[in-house]
Amino acid sequence: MTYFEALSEGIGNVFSFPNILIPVLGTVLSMVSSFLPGIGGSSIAALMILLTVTWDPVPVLLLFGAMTGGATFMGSVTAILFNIPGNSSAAAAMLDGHPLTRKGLPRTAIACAATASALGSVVGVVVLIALLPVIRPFLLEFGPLERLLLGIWGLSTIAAIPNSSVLKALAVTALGLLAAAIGTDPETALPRWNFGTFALFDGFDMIALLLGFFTVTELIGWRKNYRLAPPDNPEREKDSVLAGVMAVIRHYRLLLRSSVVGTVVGIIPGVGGTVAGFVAYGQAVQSAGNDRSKFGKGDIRGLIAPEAAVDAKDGGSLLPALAFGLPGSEAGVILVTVFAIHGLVPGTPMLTVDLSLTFTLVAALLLSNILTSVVGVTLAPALGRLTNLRVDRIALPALVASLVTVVQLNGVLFDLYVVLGFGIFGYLLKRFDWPRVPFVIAFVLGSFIERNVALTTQLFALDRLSFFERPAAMVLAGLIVVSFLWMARKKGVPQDAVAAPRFAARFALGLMAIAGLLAGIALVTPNGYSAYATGMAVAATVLCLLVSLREVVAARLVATRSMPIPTSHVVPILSLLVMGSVTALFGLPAGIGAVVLTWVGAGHQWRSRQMVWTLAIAVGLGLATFYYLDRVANVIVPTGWIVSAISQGI
Amino acid sequence: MKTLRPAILCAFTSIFIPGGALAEFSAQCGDLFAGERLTLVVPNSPGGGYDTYSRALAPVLEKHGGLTARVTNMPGGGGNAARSFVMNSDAESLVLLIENTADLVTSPMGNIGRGALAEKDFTIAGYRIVGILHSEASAWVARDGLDLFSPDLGTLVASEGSLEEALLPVFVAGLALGIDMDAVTGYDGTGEMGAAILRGEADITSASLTTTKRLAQNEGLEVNLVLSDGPAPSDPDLPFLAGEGSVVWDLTAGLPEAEATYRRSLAAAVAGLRGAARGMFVSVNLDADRAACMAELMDLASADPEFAEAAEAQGRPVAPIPAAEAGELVASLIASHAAALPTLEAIAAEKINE
Repeated sequence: MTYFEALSEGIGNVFSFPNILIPVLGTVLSMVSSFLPGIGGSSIAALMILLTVTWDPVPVLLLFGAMTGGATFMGSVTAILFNIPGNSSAAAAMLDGHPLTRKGLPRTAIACAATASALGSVVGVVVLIALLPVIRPFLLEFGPLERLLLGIWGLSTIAAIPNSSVLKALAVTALGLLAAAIGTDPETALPRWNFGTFALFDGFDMIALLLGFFTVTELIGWRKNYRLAPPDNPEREKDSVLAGVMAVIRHYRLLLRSSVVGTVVGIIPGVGGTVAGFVAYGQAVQSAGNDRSKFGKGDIRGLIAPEAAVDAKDGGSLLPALAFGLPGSEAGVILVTVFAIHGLVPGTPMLTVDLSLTFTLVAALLLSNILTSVVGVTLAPALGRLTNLRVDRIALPALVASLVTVVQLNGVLFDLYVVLGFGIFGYLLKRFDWPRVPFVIAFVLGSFIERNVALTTQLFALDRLSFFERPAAMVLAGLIVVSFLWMARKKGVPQDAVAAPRFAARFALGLMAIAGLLAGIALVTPNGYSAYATGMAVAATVLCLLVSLREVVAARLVATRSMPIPTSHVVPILSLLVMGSVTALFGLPAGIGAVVLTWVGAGHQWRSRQMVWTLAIAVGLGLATFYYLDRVANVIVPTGWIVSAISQGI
Repeated sequence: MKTLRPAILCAFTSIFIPGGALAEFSAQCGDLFAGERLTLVVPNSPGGGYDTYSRALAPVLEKHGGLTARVTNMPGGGGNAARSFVMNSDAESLVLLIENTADLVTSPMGNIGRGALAEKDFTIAGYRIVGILHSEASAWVARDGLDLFSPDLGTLVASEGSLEEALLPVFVAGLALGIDMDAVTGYDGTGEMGAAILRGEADITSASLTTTKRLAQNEGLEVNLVLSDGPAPSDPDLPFLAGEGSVVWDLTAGLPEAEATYRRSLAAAVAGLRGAARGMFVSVNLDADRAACMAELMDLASADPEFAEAAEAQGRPVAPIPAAEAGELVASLIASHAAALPTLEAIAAEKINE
């Protein structure tokens, strides 16, 4: 069978009846699972593996190909509308997607994101099809050195994110890299900064951190807000689906560039959609020349780039699984398992005798990406109206769902404290005008960079690696140099007025103290702390010290004593603290009851009718949480210290 | 493998002898478990090997035990959340951990030794094994044409996940073979370790025999050494590390007796400690009657052809070892690990200081 015969057979396998119903089912399944809290795509996929054991390979590939691509776009909807990413890949869509919503252009933004996603996935799949015949040698070009350089290039995109202070951006980047280093040394598997708890063995869970950093931080401001900020649209742009679609067509070069970036990032195992989104955003800003003043304020190009890249990544991420049986992501693990069950051998057989099956998988992936985007464009007008909802009524259910979900994902109560802790940390960064996105990019890339630093240095030491024999490394090194040159020319944006300079200085000193403590531990502990990890801790300490010195000077110049936190934010923050304490003592259901009681009940008289109702709702939600976790989600319901002590008869 | 073979034979006997697989759950245990809930705790995300075994086992446990069996995934803390949860469960809770027996014996002890974990979270003494679902040796997969007996071999470089994972299958195995070994550590998963060989970054890597065979098939590599003390039942023609007729046995044939004995003992330690035995564990806190009934239930369920059919359809072979023999295996692993620990710690210290 020739290459084109196999391609034609693969496409024919998808676009024939009743076969086409299977990828539609897969797409619907993954879209639904992306909306259900805690029912992750991998759980549904694991269940489907069991149910499809007796199926023939073609329908199985149609199903799993569709499930690989189905959920990607949906995570961007909440990122655009509410500044809350539905999944980690959607984080970059917030940068300009949510400002577009705040400009009164939610329909335009959603239609644009859906179109960019669909076209991005088409480009990703075309690149995938074009590369298949030469993929094995191509993939072998991406070893630890190339991955390290890719990580550094990704980190350089931080400079493209608009921020008011280079020093603060550097400090918060170092803090992000330091946070990523907490857990275990990748080279020796020795633990570091885990303070004797196994919960930190794998470091901070990324989903928990992102939920705290973006979702909780956002929700703190919603308790006394009836709706999102009124539209700020001085140019009176029209909000329409057509405008969103046309914007993507107008910026077709950006779309192509971002899609290629997404595909290349997808090819590299272990990098993922989050990095693809941010790297594409960075290259969009860098390639905008002098016309980049609107990035971060609702520039449509800042939405097209990450959306195209994140969906194009799906195509690229199939390549290592197909060519080497090398799963580059959780979806890749599922696919490799499916291959093994159905007798498909990744590598040469999938690229020769089974090539038509490979194209079946690819076509199903493409169809699912397009289907989700069509759904997105169709629903854009309705989704746009969601911004008219009273956010004060959404805030508490969203908070409770986030907290229950995060405990369900890994079965570790510690992740709940990660959400609460990083929620408050992210809020304080926002209040004191520290850029938050560099922290997230650094955190996402941190362990990837460190792992490849470790591998690269070992390979150089053993003379198993030569830079000048690695053309991909030389190209990436060139891109990094260009990025840094661009950075040197870049001007900053004006700093927002900090509400309370004295508190801002104390906050910076607090961060310095934490980083300093970690640096101290690294310097006095003999094993487990590599030069990289220790260096990050020292760098974060020094940079936070410099920021605090600058803030002290600013505080002297502006001798005000204003409070750093608006009164309307005090109750939400208090609710989070009460929730954490009650959960630690009495377990998660009690914690959920406590957050409801504090959030809703604050300000009411103890014996009032509202308070009785609030109490009833709190108890009801606590019981519902217990029932959901125990009977529906089937996870172990976390109990607190006091409950554990009582149950053990102490 | 020597320690495993009688147990495997015994397990097969119990399947094929009439009445062995058809035995019923005792009335006393049936009464004790009726209507109760059994939670199978998997220390990984959904979709992996242990998850597959658990989901295939759950309906069979329900059929034999008259209880409700549910699977829950607790990948948090590198799987330690699951291990700690099961170990600390109370006398009444029917909670079962599905885990690699060798990992449970070796990793937690090493971690506690380095102060990373407290004994309240982990100690092998906190578990009671109630059966093994399948057991196999580890193996080396190498670049094509690598000759372990070549005089020009030089230093072999292995690609591994971490230094801790490399200690037994690379450094101790290298000492036993008399080969200079080095390792590049930090690779993420066996697929990456295989790709490192293709890129010329390493010469070998180690994993379970099933995984190494898959790597070899996918990537044009070859399995060149099984880290067992006898021929692998599934691949009797592959060279093996320890025991009579093994590679180490041949390589040490003409050496002074003390050195030969030492190297053979190192090879035996690797063979004993580097297996992948998928075990089922309950907490030692579990009431004695309940624990005995759990062992009985696991013996019944793991020998049920329905379970084997469901697991094997998903590429997971089944060769059950009953609770009693599994207990002996764990005791032998603990003793082997205690004996090997000083050597492992010395190698670890040397490599970390490098």
